[in-house]
Amino acid sequence: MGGHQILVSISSDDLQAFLSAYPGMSVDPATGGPTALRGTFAFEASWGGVDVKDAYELQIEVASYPETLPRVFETGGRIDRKADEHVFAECGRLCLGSELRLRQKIGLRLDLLRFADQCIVPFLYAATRRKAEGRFVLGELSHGHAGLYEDYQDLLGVTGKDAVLSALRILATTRGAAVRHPCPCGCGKRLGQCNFRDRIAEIRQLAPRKVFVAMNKAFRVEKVGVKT
Amino acid sequence: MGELYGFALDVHSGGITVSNKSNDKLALLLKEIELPEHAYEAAKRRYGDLGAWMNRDGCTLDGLDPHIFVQGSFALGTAIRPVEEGQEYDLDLSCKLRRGVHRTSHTQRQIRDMVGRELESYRAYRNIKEPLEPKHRCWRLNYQDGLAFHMDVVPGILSNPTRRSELALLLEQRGVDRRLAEDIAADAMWITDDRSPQFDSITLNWLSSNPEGYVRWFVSRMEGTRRALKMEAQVDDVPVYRRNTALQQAIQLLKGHRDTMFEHACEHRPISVIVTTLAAQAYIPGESLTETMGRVLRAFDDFRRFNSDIVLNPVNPAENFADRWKTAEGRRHQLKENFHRWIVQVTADFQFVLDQNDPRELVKRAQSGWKVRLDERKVADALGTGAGYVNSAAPRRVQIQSPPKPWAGTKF
Repeated sequence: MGGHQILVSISSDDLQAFLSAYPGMSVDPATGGPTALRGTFAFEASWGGVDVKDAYELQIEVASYPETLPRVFETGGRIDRKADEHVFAECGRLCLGSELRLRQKIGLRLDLLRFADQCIVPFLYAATRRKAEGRFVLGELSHGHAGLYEDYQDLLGVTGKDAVLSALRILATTRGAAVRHPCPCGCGKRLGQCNFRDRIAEIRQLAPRKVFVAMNKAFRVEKVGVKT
Repeated sequence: MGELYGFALDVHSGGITVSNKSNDKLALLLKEIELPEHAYEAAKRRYGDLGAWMNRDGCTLDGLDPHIFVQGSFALGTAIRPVEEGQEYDLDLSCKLRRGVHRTSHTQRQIRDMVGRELESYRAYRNIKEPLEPKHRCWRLNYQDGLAFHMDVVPGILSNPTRRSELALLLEQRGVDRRLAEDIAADAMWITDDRSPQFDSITLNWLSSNPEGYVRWFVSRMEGTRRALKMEAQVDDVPVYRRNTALQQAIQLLKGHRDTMFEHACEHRPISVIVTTLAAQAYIPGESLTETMGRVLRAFDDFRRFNSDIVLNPVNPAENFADRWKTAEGRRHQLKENFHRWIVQVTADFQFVLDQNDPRELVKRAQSGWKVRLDERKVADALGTGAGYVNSAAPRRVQIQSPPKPWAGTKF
C-alpha cells in the first residue's frame, strides 16, 4: 500500500486549530493512550434554513488514524444511551455514521477540526432537533447491518447486498488480485475491464488495506444486525 | 479575534480599556496563585536559620566558607501555591563551600557527607522529627512548623578559576555583557551526584551548576543588565522575589496552568526551568502583564512550530535543559509532545480568558485551567459589566452539507 501517513497522535497544529474553534474543549496530557479531549462543545449550525445553537459536554478520543476512527462520547447525560438515539448503550459512544462514510468525510489525514465540523456537529444538530421534533431531520440509517448496506450501496454506487459484499471483498484483496474479480457494478465484466475500478481506487485511498480486511470480515461474521 | 494572534491586537491597538480589563482579569487569577508573603518570609527565616547554623563557631565546615542560599522559584519570585491544598512547598537551597576544597582534594561523596553531617546536627538542634533523606544531588530536610516545607539542600564547591574564566568568555561570546558574564561565572559551582561512576574517586568529572548565576541572568532579563550587576545591587534593594514584575507574574500564571493540567501526570509535565528560561528570553521590560503574556505565548508557539529540541542554559551554554526529551525515559513520558500540547492548551485558555467577558464563563475557566475558585461577583466588578452579561465568544458556526447519517450497530 504505501502513501498512508500513520499518525500516532494528533499534530499540535491540528489541536490548536480545533481548540481555537471549540474553546470550551481542552486536551489531556499525553500519557500513552489515545489523545483525549473533553469539555463543552458549543456550536451554531444550520441546515435547510433552520439554525440550532447548542452546547454538549463531550469527550473525544483519538487513537492512531487511519487504523482507528475517533470515538466521541456525550458525557452530560442529555442524549439517552440507546440505539434509537444512535448511541452505544454500554459505553455511551455516539454512532456518528457508518465507518466508510466517516472515513470518506475525514479523508486521507485526520484533521480534528474538519472531523468535528463534518461529523460531530451534524450529529448534535440532529440530536437537538430530535428533542423538539421527534425525528432525525438529517435522516438516519437502519440499525445493524441493514443500515450499513443502505449507506454503502449509496456510497459505492451499486445496487443490492451482494454487490456491497463483492465490493468489500475487492477492497480487502490486493490490487493485483482484485482486477480479476467480477465487477460489483453488475456489468458482467471483470473489475479490471470496467470503469468501476476508478471508484474502488478512490475508496482504497481512504485507509490501508488491513482496515478493509477487518471491515470485510466483520460484515461476514455478523450476518444480522441486532437492534438493541 | 479567536486566535492566538488576538494577543497581537492587545499589544498594538493601544486599546487601553481592553488592555486594562485583561490585566484585571489576569490579576484576579494571579491573586489566587501567587505565594502569600508569609510563605516567603517563612522561607527566608528557614534558610537564614540554617545559614547561621552553618556559620556558627565550632561548625565542622568552619574555614570552608559555607554559603547557604536559596535557588529556584523562591529565589526568582516565581513560586506558586501547590495545586492541591496542604501539599508541601519545595524550598531549594544550595550549600556552597567556597574555600579550601577542590575537585582535586575531595571526592563528591566526601563533600556530600561533610554537608550532610552538619545538616544532621542542625536537625537534632531544631528537633526535626523526620530523618535527613539523601537524594541523588541533595539532602532533603522535612521541616514542619505551621507551613509544610521541605528543604532540598544541594552540596557543592566553588568552581575553579580556569573554569570561571572559560565560562565568562563563553557567555560573552554568546552576547552577554562582559561584566555580567564575569559576575555570572564567578558564582559557578561543582555539585555532587551519587549516580556518577566517579562518586568515590578524585576526579575532574563533576556536574556544573550555577543557580546564583541563573538568578542574576534572570534579573538582567527582567530589569536590564545594570540592575543585575554585583556592584549595582544595593543591600537595601527590594529582594528579587518581591519585585512583582510582569515577567514573574506571567511565569506564575503559566506554572499554575501547567500544574493543573499535569496534576495527575506529574512526570509528564514541562519542567519549570524551561518555562522560565523561554519566558525570560521573550520578555521586554516595562510591558503590561497582558502584553507579556501575549509575547511569551507567541515565543512558546514559535518554539513549538520550529520543533526545537534545544533550550540552552543561559548561564552554561553547554547544558541543554531539554536533554531529557531524547532519553528513553523522556520519550516514554512524551516530554516533547507534552510540552507542545501544553503550549497549545495554555494559549487557548489565556485567549479564552482575554476574549471572554461573561463572569460565569471566566469562573468556570479559572477552575478548569488553574484550579482556582474565583468569586463571580468580584469578577463582574472587575469587568464593570454590572447586570446582563453577554457571552462574548461566539460559538463555532457550521453550515451542514451532506451530513453522515447516524447509525446504530452492535459494534464497528
